[in-house]
Amino acid sequence: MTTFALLLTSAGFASQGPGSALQFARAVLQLGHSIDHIFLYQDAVLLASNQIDLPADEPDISAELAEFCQRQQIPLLFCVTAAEKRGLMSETVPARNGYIGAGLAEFALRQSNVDKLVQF
Amino acid sequence: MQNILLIQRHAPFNSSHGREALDLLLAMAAVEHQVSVLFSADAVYQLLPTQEQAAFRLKAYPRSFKLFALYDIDQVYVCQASLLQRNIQPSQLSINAQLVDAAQIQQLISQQHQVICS
Amino acid sequence: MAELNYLQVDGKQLALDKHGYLSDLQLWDQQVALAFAARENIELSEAHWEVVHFVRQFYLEFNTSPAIRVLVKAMAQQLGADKGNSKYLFLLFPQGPAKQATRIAGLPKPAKCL
Repeated sequence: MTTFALLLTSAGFASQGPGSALQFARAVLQLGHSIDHIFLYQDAVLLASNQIDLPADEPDISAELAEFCQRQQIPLLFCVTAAEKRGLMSETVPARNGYIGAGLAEFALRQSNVDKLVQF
Repeated sequence: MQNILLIQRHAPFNSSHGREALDLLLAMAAVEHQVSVLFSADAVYQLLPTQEQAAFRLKAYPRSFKLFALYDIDQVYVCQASLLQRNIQPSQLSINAQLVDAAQIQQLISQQHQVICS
Repeated sequence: MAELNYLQVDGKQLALDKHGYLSDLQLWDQQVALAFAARENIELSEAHWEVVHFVRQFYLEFNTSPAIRVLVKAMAQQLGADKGNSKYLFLLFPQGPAKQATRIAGLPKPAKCL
């Protein structure tokens, strides 16, 4: 059994990255491996916005990812600094439900528990 | 403690990739991982001296590369082929970096627990 | 936080960012440092000034405000271990040396986790 972590750096709506990450994460669990955490950095922090508004016939990867992580009890972390720099959240504007603010230091520390880090 | 390699691939001032990757590298080094960094493709432009370039409207983060010594980051590599393709001489680089060819890069990657791309 | 948006120095109003740091680091001088220090309830001794000048020099060289860890290390290298340790720095700047010293030195807020 392998312990994975996923690092997302590509934007949600604007790229395929997060969708691929979600499919990969499901496959990892199906094959009996585990995921220590998923960390959003660079443009991937856009997934943590609670202002995402999509028509019903377009996949909401941000919501699917949050729902998947909640069900599987996988910490879904985003870099607060990267999010603040993009104007995504503040003291009065929270992140989307299911997304947990963290720092690069936490991501760095968590790498000690991880066998493989996969980046999307 | 993990061996972690960061591969910088982006030109310095047309996106925030290089800057945010640098922050990530420093965070990794700050918690005592054994980190190394490879400047490859257009990221070799990050190593040219850029003291003042206010017109770019992005922070002059390459000046912070001098922090590497303070963070005990001594494995700094630059892709030789990328320099050649862009006609950049090693003597033009603003920091000390070890030139590596394809075989050495392969070996470098094989020594890592984790590889992160900017 | 409205009252934190400006710093009064010699009858002039200097703009601050929303975290209470000087907006334009070029406008810094000793009077600005004294005004910041007064607001932080710190009386600047020679030891304080040494740290303030050190972090300012650090910024000018590396183009970034030092986080505490790297500030300690840089000071240890240049000024010796008796000054380059977090206990010494916390005695001078009890609310957090990286935060307070960079603010008094007119620099931007240091990054959280570096």
